[in-house]
Amino acid sequence: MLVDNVINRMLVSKIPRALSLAKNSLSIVLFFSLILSSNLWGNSQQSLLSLSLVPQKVVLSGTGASQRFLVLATYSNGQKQEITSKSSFSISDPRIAKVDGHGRVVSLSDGKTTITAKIDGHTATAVLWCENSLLESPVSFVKDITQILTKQSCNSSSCHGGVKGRGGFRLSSNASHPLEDYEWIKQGGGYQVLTDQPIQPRNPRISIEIPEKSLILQKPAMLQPHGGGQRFEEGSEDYDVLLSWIQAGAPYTQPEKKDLVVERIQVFPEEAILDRLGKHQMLVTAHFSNGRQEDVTNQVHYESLDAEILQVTSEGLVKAKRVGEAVILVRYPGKVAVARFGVISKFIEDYPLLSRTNFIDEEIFNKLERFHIIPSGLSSDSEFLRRVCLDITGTLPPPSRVREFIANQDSQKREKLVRTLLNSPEYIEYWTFRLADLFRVKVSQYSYWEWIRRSLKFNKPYDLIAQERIAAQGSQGPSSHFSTGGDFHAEQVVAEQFRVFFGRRMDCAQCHNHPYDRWTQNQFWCLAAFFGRTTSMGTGPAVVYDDPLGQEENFGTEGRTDLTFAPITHPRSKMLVNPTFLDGQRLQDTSMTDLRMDLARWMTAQTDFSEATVNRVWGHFFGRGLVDPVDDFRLGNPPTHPRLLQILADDFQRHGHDLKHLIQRIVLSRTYQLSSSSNKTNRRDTINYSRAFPRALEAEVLLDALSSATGVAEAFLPPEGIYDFETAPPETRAINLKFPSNYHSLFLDVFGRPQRDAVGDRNNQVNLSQALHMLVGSTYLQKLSKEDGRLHQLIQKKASDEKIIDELYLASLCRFPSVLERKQLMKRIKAHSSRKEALEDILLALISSREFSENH
Amino acid sequence: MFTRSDSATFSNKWYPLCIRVAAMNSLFSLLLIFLIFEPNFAATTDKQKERKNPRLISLFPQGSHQGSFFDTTVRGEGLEGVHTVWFDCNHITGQVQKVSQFFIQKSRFSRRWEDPGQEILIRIEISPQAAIGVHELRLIADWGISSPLSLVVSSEVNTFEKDDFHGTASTAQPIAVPVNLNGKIANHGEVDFYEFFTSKDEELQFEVLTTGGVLPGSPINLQSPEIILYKPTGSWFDSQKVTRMEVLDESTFLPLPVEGKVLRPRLKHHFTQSGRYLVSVGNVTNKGGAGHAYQLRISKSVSGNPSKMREWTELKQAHVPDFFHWEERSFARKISTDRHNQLWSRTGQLSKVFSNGKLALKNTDQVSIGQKVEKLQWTMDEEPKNSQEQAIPLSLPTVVEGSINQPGDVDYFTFPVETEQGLAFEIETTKQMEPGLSLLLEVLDSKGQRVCSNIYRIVENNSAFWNKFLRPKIIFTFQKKGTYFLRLQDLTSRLGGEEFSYRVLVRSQVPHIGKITLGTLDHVNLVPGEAKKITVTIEKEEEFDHPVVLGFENLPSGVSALPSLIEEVKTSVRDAGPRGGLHKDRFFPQTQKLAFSLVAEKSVLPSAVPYKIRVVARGVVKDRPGMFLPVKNLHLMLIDPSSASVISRLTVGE
Repeated sequence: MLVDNVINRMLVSKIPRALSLAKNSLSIVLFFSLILSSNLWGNSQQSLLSLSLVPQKVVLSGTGASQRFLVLATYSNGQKQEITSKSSFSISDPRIAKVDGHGRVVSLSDGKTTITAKIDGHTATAVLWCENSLLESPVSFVKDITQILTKQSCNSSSCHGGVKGRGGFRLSSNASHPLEDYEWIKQGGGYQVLTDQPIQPRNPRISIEIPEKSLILQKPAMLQPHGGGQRFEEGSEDYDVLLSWIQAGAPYTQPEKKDLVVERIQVFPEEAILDRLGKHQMLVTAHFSNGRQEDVTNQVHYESLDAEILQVTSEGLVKAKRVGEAVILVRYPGKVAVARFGVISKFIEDYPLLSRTNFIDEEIFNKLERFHIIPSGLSSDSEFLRRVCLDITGTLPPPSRVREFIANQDSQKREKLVRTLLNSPEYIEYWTFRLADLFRVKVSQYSYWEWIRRSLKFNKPYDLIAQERIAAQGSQGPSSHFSTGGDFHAEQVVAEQFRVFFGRRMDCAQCHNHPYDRWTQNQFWCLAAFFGRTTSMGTGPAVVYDDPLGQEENFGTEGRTDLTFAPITHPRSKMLVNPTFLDGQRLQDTSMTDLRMDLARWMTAQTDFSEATVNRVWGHFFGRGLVDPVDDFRLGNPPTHPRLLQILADDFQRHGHDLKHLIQRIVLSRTYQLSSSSNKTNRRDTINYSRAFPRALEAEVLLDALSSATGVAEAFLPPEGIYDFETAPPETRAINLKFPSNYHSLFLDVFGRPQRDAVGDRNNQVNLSQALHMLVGSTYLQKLSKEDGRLHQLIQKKASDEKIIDELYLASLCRFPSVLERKQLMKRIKAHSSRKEALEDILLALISSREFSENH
Repeated sequence: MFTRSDSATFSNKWYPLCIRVAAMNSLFSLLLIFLIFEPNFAATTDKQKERKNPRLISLFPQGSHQGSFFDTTVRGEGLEGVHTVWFDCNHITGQVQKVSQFFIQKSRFSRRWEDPGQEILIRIEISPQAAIGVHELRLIADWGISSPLSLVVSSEVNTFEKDDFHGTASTAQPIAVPVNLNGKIANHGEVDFYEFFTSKDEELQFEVLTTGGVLPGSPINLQSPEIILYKPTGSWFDSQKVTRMEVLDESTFLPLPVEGKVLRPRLKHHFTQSGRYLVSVGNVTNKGGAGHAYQLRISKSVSGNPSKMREWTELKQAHVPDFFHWEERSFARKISTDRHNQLWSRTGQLSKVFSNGKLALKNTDQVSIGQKVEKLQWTMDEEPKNSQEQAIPLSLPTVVEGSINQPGDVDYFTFPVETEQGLAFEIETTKQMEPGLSLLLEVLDSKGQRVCSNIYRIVENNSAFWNKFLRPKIIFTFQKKGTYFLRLQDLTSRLGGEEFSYRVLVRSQVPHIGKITLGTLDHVNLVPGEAKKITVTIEKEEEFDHPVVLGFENLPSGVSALPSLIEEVKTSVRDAGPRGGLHKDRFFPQTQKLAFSLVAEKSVLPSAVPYKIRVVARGVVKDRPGMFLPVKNLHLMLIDPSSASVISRLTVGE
C-alpha cells in the first residue's frame, strides 16, 4: 500500500524499489506454493455423461497401416477429459483390423469395420476402412528416413541440425531441406559459412557394401561411440527401416509423388485443459497432397516449451506438472505444429457472464472461459484515465482533468476521452517519439524525425509509412536511414526492415539457414538483393537512390577494371543473387526498375506485415505481445491467441492500416480496461490478459511524469565539459527531444534510454541503480525543492494539508488518497517538526513509488 | 533573445566579488583570489600588447531600414583603440559610442575564459538613399582595418526583439504584421516566440534571414534557423499549449548544416480564421550565441490578393559588381544567353564582343586576334523525349532547358560529334532548396552504352570506400565520330515536377581562365617596413595552357606588390594517383598558385582611411596579353608604427 511506502520513507527514509520488487517476488513464490498444495480439482465427484472417439472416420492404406484412437469423456459439469488409457476397445470385424489396449488399430485386410470403446457402461464408436493392405510401400528417404531423423532429434539445432553440424555430420534443421540432407548423409562433412566447401574430412554416413556398418546405424545404436548417446536400439523399428533403406541402395525418392508430399500436419488437441495431475495423449495426423491422411503420432518429435508446466513423452503423452499454460511443439520433417495446454487449479462451473465490447473481448474472454480464468473487474475511472493517458500520449493528466473525469457521469466518457487523446497534439508527440525509437532516428537526422512527425500528424496509413521507409530515396526524411556514406550493408538493412515491419529476426539466415525458423540463407540473400543496388551520392546530405541496372559503375573501358559494380552475391557460392520475395516469386530482369519499392509493396501486402504491426502495438498497450517478444515471430514462438492476431490484423488491413483505428480498437476493449487487481483465478496468469499488468514507464515518459507531478520542468543540457553542443529549449519534454542521446541525463541512462544503435535496444529492466536514484538521485531531490514547483506554489497559496495531499495524489497517481492514507499522512504531517519537509517527504514518496513509476 | 548571459563582462562579474572579498581580508587575499578566479589575467595583460589582426565576430542588431538610425553592438578582437566605423556606402555612417571588454566562456562548466575581445556600441545612421541589400561594416582601430560584418539595409521598417524573456509560448513577444524584426538566438537552446494577429483569409509569408555566406570573409553563425508556426489551441492536457501548424514549407531542413550552406526557412500560410497565432524562431541544432542574429520577416500578400505573394527576399551585396563573382562549378550559377560571351572574355584573348567596354576596364588592350564567338542556341523542353528514339536533336552549341516533369522522367537529346571533338557540358539546376534536383547527365553512344557522365568518384575514408559526387560541369573528348545521346534524369525515381528544372549548356571546349581566388583574404594592414604575402589560386579551365599574370591597381605610394615564391608550379589533375579521383580531369580544372608580397617601405606614411586596391589578372596568349579580369578588391591600411610593436614575418631593407 502506498501509505506504507510514505510512512516508511518518513521513518526510515526510503525504501529501495529493488527491495520492494524482491518482496513482491517472494510473495509470488509463497502464493504458488499454497496453490500447489491444495487439491481443487474434483472430477471424481462428477458423473460421466458421454464418450466419443477421435478420429471418427479413418482410412488405413498399405500393409500394416495403423491409427491411434483417443477416447474423450464429457462429464456432467461440462468438463472434457481424455481417458483412452482407462477404456477398453473392440473391433467389429477382427479380420479387417486389430486393436490393442491403447486404442491403436492395425490394418489386416481390405474392408470396413468399426472400433468401439467402453468405460463405465458408456460406449463410443468410430468407422475405419482398410485398403491396399497387401501393398507394401518401399522405404522413402523423404517420408521415412527424415521422419526418423526428426523424431530422434538428430536434426535438431543442438545436434546435427546446428549451423555447422556436429561430429563431422550435418543435417538441415527439422529436415527442412531433404535433398541437402541426402547429400550430407551420403558424403558426410560439416557446413562452412563463408564457402560452399564442406568441413573435411567427409565420412559417408552410409555403407552400401556393408549396410550394417553404416555410421547412421552404428552411432545412434551406440555400436560406435556417439556424442548424442543412444537414440534407438539395434533391431528396433527405426533401426530396421534405416537398414532396409540402405540395403535397397539408399535411394532418394523424388518428393513429387503426391502420396509422399506432406502438406501439413494436424495435432489433436490444438488446445486443451488439464488439471494439476492431468494427462493427455496427443494425436498427430499428416495430410498428404493427394488428400490421404496418416497417423504419425509416433513419427514426430515433441517438445514442451515450458517443461516446468508440461512434460511430454516421445509418444506424445502430455503430463501436467504445475498450474500454468504451455505449448507443445510438434516437429515433423519440414513441418511444425503446436498444441496449447492450460493446467488449471480449479474447474469453475458457474463461470460468470462477461460483457464484451468488441472482437478482442470475444477472443480473450472465450479463451479465459475455456481455461477457467475469470478476468478482473473493470478498472476504476482513475485507473483507466492514468493508464490510457500514458499509453496514448505518454503524458499524465493534470489534477483538474482527473477530478473532471472522475466526476463525469457520462456513460460514454471513456470513448470520448480516447477520441480526445487520439486527436491531441500529445498523441503526435508521443508516437513520434516511439516511432523515432523504432526507426532509429539518430543524432542530427532532423528531417527523418520531421517525416515521422508529419506522418503521424496526417495519420498516414502505416503501410505507406513502411513503404516510404523501406524504399526511401533522396536526401530527406527516411532516406537518412540509408545515407551512411559508403558504409552501406544490404544484409544489415534487410534484416532490420524485416524485424521492424515483419516482426521476424532473420539475421541468423545471413550466415546459414535459420536454426529456429524456416528461413534459408538463400532466401535471406535473395531479399538482400533488393537492397543490393541501393547507393548514395555525395555527402552532407547524401542522395540515396537505386541503380538497378548497375550502369552507373560502367565507366567505359578505363574505369571498368577499377570499379566493377558489386551486386549482391551469395557469401558461400559467390554466385549472383536475384531479388526474390520470400514466397519464391522472382523479379524478372525487365521489371527491375524500382527494386526496393517492389519489395516494400510486397511486404506491406502480406498478412505478416499486418500481424507484426498489430502485435507490436498490442505489446505496447499490454506489456506483452500476442507473440512475445513482439519482433520474434517464428515457428517455435506461437501466438497466445492466434485467431485474435489474425482478426486484429484483418481489421487493421481493412481499415487502411490506420494506426489510430487500431489503437482505438484496443483501448476501447474491455480487455484493455480491466483492473490490475487480481482475483484467485487469474493471479498467476501472465499471458491471457485477464487483468492489466503493471508496466515500467519508458525512461523519457517517467522523467516527464516526474516533471508533471512536481511541476518542475527538466532542463536538458549538453554533457559536462562540452561547450559546443545542444541545450534543449526551455520546458522541452523528454519525449520531444529529437535526439535524446545528445543530452546529458543520468536519469535517462539509468532508466534505460536507448542509443538507437539497434532495433529494440531500450532497456526496461529494473535495476539497483534505479532504486538508488530514487533514493538520492538529483532528478528526484532537486524537483522537490524548487520554489516554483507544484508543492511550493500550493504552500504559498496557503492551501490546507488535505488540499495539498489531494493535489499531489491527483498529479502523480491520478487518484485521491484513500481514507486510511489520508488519515495517516495527516497524522505524520502534524507530528513532523517542519510542515514543508513533511510535505516534501510525501511528494518524494509518491513519485518514487511503484504506483507512480509504472503504468497499471 | 537579446541577453548577455552567454558571456560576462569582466568588470561586471568578477571584480565586485574580488572587491567584496578584499574588503574583508587582506590585500594578499585579494591578489590570491583574483589570480585563482582569473588565471588569464596576467596573460591577458601581455596579450594586449600583442598585435592582432582586427577581426569582427558578431553584430546585433544586424540592420535596419533606409532613413533610420539605431544602436548596434559589435563584438570582435584586435580592436584596441577603435575609432572609426567604415562602410562600403557613402549613405551609411556610424559612430563609436562605447568600448568595453568581454570574455567568452569556454565551457558552461569551466571557469576558464578565452582571450578578451572588444564589445563596441555603435550608433548607425542609414540615409534614405542607402542601397538596399547587405553592406560591409568594418571598424578601424590601432591595428588597422578589420574584417567585415554584414549590415542589412531594407526598405521596410525594422523593429527589434525585446530584452524580456519570450522563450516560451506563454511569454511570447507581441508583434504586428507585416514586420521586419531583428532578433538573436543568444543562448544555446533558445527559442524566441512572437505572437501576432491576423484577419480571416489573410495569407502571410514568413522568412528568416541570416547574413551568413553573403559577404565573403564575414562569419557564419546561425546556419540553420527554423521557423515554426503555432495556433494557441490548447490541449486537453494543457490549456496553454500551442499546436504546431502545418504550412506550405518552401524550404526543407538538411540533416546537418553543411559548411558554407545557410538555411533560409520560408513558410507560407493562408489563415482561414482570424485571431491570435504564434511564430517561433530557433536553431535546428539548438546552438546560440552573440553572433546568432536573424531577421524575421513576415509579409502579407500583395495588394490583398492572397494568391499573389511577395518574392522571397534574396540577400545580396549592395555594392559589389556582379563580374567579381565568377563561378563555374556550381549548380546554382546562371547559364544565360550571355554565358558563351562570358567564357570568351576569359580566354586570354581580345574579341569584338568586349569592345563595347562593358567590363569598364582600364588599360584594355584593343588588339584582337579575332576568334569568332559561336552563337548560342536555346533548345526548349518538348515532351515526349523519353527514349533514344524520341530524342530531340541539338545543334551545338546550345542550352537545353527542361525539367524532370514527373518522378522517373528521363529526357533524351541527340547531337553529332566529330572525331576527337572535345565538348563541355555545364549544368544549372534551378531548384536549390532541398529536396533539390540531383541531375544525372549521361552521354550515350548509338548503342545506348554510356560514354561519360557527371558522376565523379573518389576513394575516401582512408581508402575504405568510393564516394561519388555529381558535378555541375564535365568535359569530354570523343574518340569516334558519330551520333550521341544526352540523357538527363534525377538520380532518384521519386522526385519530379515542374520545379525540377534544369539548363544544360553543351558546347565546344573553350580553354579559359577559371576562378581566381585569394582565399578569405579581403584586407591587409601594414606597418612601414612590413611585407605580407598573398597567395592567389588560379584555375585553368578546359586545358587553358597559357601564362596568367596578376596585377595590383591603386596601390598607394610607397607600397609595392612583388612576386614571391611560387608555391606550386602547376597542380595537374592528371597527377592523381591510383587512390585519387577517377578521371579527375573531366571534372576539375588545373590549378596554379602564385604568391605575392605587399611591401610597405619604411618611409611610408600611415593612412587614416583604407585604400581600396584591386587585384586583376590577364591571360597571355601568343605573347599578347588578354583582357583584364577583375579578381578582388582589397582594403589596405598603413598603420602607425608607434602603436604597432611589430611581430612581422618579413621585413624590408633589413
